[in-house]
Amino acid sequence: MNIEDYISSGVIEAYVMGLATEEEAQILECVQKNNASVKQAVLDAQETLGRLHQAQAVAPPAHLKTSIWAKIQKEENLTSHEEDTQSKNEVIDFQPKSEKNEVLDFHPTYIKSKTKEPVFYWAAAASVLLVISLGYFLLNQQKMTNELATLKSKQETSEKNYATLNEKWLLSTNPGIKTVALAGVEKHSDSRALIYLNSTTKKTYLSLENLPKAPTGYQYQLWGLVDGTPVNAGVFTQSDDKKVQEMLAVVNAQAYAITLEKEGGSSVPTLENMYVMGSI
Amino acid sequence: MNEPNSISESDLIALLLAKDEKTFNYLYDNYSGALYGLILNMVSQKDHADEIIQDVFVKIWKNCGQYDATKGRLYTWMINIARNAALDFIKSKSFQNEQKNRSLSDVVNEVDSGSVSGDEFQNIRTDNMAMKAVIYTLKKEWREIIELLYYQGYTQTEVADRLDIPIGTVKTRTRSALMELKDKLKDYR
Repeated sequence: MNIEDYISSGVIEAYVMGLATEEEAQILECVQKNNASVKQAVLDAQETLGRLHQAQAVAPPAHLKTSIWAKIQKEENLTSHEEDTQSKNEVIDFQPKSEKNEVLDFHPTYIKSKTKEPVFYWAAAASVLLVISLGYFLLNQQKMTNELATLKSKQETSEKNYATLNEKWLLSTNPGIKTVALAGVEKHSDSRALIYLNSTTKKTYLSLENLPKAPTGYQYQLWGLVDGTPVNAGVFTQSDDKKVQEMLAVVNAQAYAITLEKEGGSSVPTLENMYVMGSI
Repeated sequence: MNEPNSISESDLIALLLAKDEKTFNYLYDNYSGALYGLILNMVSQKDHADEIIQDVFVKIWKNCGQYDATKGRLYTWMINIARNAALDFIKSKSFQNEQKNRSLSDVVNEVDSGSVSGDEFQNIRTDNMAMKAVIYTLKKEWREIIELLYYQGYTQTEVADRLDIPIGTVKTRTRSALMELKDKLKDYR
């Protein structure tokens, strides 16, 4: 990777001006944590925008200041009202709990006045306490085991995400690699995919960004369009841990498209099942 | 430099937590001009801008607890709130309908014809139409990019399509424009 190229690509300016794609922003936020010159470039660009807005400042009409302050105070009154109701609700919620507490909260003098055999009551109280605390212990243990499992799976997910992100970043910052964005066609306007073309090795990689999981028995197939003729570029194996896959290279492709085909792929694309396309 | 005042940003954040009228006055006196200028440049019409700036300050006030100093400066955070609010507005159906007779090419033409030399810059700043004075000192191909992307809220792809240039060129022009602005504004206080 070449950090100078990354900085001069314009992606930092796009990010600071709120124009970067979510993916670009994610990558940049990750990079700037680890790279001081990228971080500085971000700060510089923010500084420039800040100065620009100072230089182009226009004073709002004078009456707005008081009306904004009035609005703020009105909002704050509303919020504190909400808080009042909330705390009342909490008291109500606590009711059953405090009843339980009363049961637990044996008062020795009270017991004495009621019974001639306080030892029996103390023993009973102790065993009630024991059962309850044992219950708490088991409950807690179960909770901790569950939390541990959740954390573990979260960590695995983020490790996978990090590996994918890193792979994409290496591809997108490699100056020899050209990225082609495939946008959703009318029926699937939310879908997106990215193709990375290595101009030296001629290798072609595909990353599905926002395509629905292919139904069982079907696979997404990539096509390179050469003078209007679709050429098979291979099928994409959808799995959780391999988000960027190498595809077949199509020499002189001017555009790419993805269709949904029966597992194993077709020899001609099913055009009505086209999801995304984009030209180089 | 940047904000015209002496309180350091960390002091300001501490003040913000106090949330009294003094803090509000400070915030408003120092930042409302920059934010209002930005909003006005985006929505063009004063009555719209008046509405939005009010919402923006209420939002800043309500959410300042969420501001994270490790992620950037307070001023940058406020600029983002203001731009997003104005962007939501210009992307809204009601505003779109209002503007439906203005196509993108009109906007581009406006940008084209709005050429102003650096000498006129000072005069124009006092003029009501001249809010984007600094932007207008940029050369045309940079100015139109900033105008469309930052102020009109078009995506990079849309701008590349409309201006019929590769998206890479959109990106590098954005960068060049910002570098030029950095240079122009380096002494600005």
